[in-house]
Amino acid sequence: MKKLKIFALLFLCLLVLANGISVEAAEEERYGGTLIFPLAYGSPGYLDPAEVTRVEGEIITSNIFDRLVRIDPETLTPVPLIAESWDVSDDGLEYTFYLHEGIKFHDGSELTASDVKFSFERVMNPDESLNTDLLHNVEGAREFRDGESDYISGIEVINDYEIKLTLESLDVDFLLTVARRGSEIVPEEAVTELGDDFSDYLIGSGPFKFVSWIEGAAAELEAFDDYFRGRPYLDRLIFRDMEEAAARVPSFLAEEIDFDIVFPAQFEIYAEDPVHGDNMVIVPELWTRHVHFNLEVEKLQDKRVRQAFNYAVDKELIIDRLVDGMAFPATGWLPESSPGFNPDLVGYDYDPEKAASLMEEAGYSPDNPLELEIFGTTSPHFGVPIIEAMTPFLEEVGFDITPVQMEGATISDYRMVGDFEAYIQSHGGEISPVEYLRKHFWSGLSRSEGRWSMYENPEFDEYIELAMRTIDEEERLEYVHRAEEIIVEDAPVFFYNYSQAVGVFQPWVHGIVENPLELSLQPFENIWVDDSSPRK
Amino acid sequence: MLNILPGDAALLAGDPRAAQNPEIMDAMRARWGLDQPIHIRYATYITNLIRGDLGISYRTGNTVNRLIVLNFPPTIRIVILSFIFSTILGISLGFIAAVKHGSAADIGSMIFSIFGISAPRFWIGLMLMYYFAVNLRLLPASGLGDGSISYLILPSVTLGIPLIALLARTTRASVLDVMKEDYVRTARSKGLSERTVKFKHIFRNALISIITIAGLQLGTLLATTVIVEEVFSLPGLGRLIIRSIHRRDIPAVQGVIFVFALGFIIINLSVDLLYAYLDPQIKYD
Repeated sequence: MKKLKIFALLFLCLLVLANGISVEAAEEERYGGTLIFPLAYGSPGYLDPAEVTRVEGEIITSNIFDRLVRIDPETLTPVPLIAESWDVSDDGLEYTFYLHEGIKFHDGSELTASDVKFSFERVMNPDESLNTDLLHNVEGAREFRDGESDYISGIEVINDYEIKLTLESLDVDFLLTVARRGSEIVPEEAVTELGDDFSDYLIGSGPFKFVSWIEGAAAELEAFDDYFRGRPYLDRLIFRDMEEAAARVPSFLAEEIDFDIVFPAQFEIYAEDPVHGDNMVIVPELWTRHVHFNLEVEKLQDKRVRQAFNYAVDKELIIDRLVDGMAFPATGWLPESSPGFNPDLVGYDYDPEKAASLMEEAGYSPDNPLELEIFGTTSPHFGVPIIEAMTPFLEEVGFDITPVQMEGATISDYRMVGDFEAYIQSHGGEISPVEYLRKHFWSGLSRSEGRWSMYENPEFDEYIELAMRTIDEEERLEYVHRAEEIIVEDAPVFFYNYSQAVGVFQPWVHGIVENPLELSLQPFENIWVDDSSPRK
Repeated sequence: MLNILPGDAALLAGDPRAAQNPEIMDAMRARWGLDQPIHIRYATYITNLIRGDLGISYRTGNTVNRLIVLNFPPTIRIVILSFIFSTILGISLGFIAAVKHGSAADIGSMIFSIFGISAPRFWIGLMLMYYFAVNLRLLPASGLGDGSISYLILPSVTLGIPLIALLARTTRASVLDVMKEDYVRTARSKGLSERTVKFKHIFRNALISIITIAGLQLGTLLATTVIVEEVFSLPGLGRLIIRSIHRRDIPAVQGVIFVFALGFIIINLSVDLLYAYLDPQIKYD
């Protein structure tokens, strides 16, 4: 009997051991295979990095081209890429970048500091670029852009592997600038030689080489063997243009694509699947969905009205019922994944009584309601359907809401000229909390630059300007928190929710990361597929 | 139309949810000539069109000619494929239904055709995808793949089902009408075989109205590729035009419409010429 027990125990040990080994074997990175990734937002349009203005293009180009620094998706801080290190002068105005030596472009030529200078001048040249505000704070860059000078005085090549950028004014987030769309380094020689045809060749120094792009179909990339951080695992990387969410699901289930960006309507199909339910990534995104009020409209100038709006709506209920729980109720402007998120911030809880009394103080009641027109798109998550869901809450406390459905382009147009009372939208994608607050609420900006509410508060301006000038991070964060508290108190917007991005990957895909910037911006050089993939 | 709609390509070039710099937008407008008044833009467009140049797409920076050349083949392939099989199927179904008037085959094919006319293509497409690509794994779900015909079967069927239904109904009605004609009775009383009566006298005469409908529907097929291409992620003209409209990419929209219009004209002309062949009473001198 005892013997049997020992046997059983031994057997058990063996089993565990065998299991352990097999798990380990499966975990080992494997070279080869093809990964097919859907472009869930549609066609990229431009692919020349100087002309890429939308994330649709960046999803592809970020694999072909590298930048001086990249953003670590986990910490959202800049980490070395082409620049292996950098120095910042004490006044914060001079940045010296030390380039990694021996980086090769796809055509075999070496990347040096003069390519960096060339790329930066190119992106500031309006004939070649659609990103000409990228380096606006570099000395002499604006003069160069406006044709008043034929070089940028603030860019200095020290030697082949050192380049110095001088800023006009202190910008504590400058490192983020050289990690943004448009700051990709392109080969001077090839671009000069190819001219306008460069967009057909797209020679960069990134982990993948460009093979082809057919509008509406797919972009095909292949591994670059001489990539300076080591050859990527995948042999081929294909981005398929698949904008229709309902149609991506059968393609994913038929194993034709290796990843899918999941929208709320499709969430349950995947979440309830025994296999796919375990292979999902859920990330709080850097986006804030909200209703923007136009503070130039007289009736909205009363703070109490805007606060009442915020108290009146049960956001959690709406998120639960209409967004399938794929969002977090917003407390303020900076989302949870933002480095500036303030967990202690007190936002507006659902409090209809408080809302009603605020409205009463302001002179409105359900019998004498405040009429408000809210523009929105057809988006089921931040469009007219959401306004309709909010309407009963709002009418109870003394609003009379008229939702107006229109196309995104039309809203943009009305927004530009200030011809609106309120609109519902989603804004974000900005890593720097200072910039994200400044862009929409700092009184130094015009309406068309992003201050759509025309909000103005000297106290807020002061904190933002302090934050812009403060190099010490903790101190800066403190100012950001103060500034955000003022925004929340003044309520120039209705803080609705922070969106969540959801992705699902096939069981054979390894190395997917949770990138709050954009789930489609994956580090494809680290992703690999095991041999159960149909495209191994 | 797109010129008077609010929003322009420069406004929509950036991320629609982010702030835009007005200076950059002005630079973009200058680059694309959007700062010119509309009559000058139109004159430039016409002059270029005569030279066969459809302009440059704002959204992609490519020439419209190139976009159309790339996106034309998938569209025309699924249109032709679905037209061929749906006319064959639709006309045969309708003919059988008419000659076996009142039988189970008649009722069955008419139920099918009511379903085919009323079911939205979008839904048909998704259902076909789930059944043939996900459950049976017989056919690919989307895209063009290696370009083999298997990738075109589901899109063509989706595109063609409403046409089969419509043609079946038209054929049935038209054949039933012709069957009541005097010359059919005459033919029968002459002692001609049932086969000759059916095909030579009934079918050929019924064909005139069927061809008219089929010709008109070919144009509709071309227009509805928009939905099918989006569902099956095909790089066709329908997809191109929808995206171009969303982003106010006027040259691309004009280019695709030009091609579609040309297509309509060619189809209508071919239908008219076919009449002459089918009906000896119609002659073009």
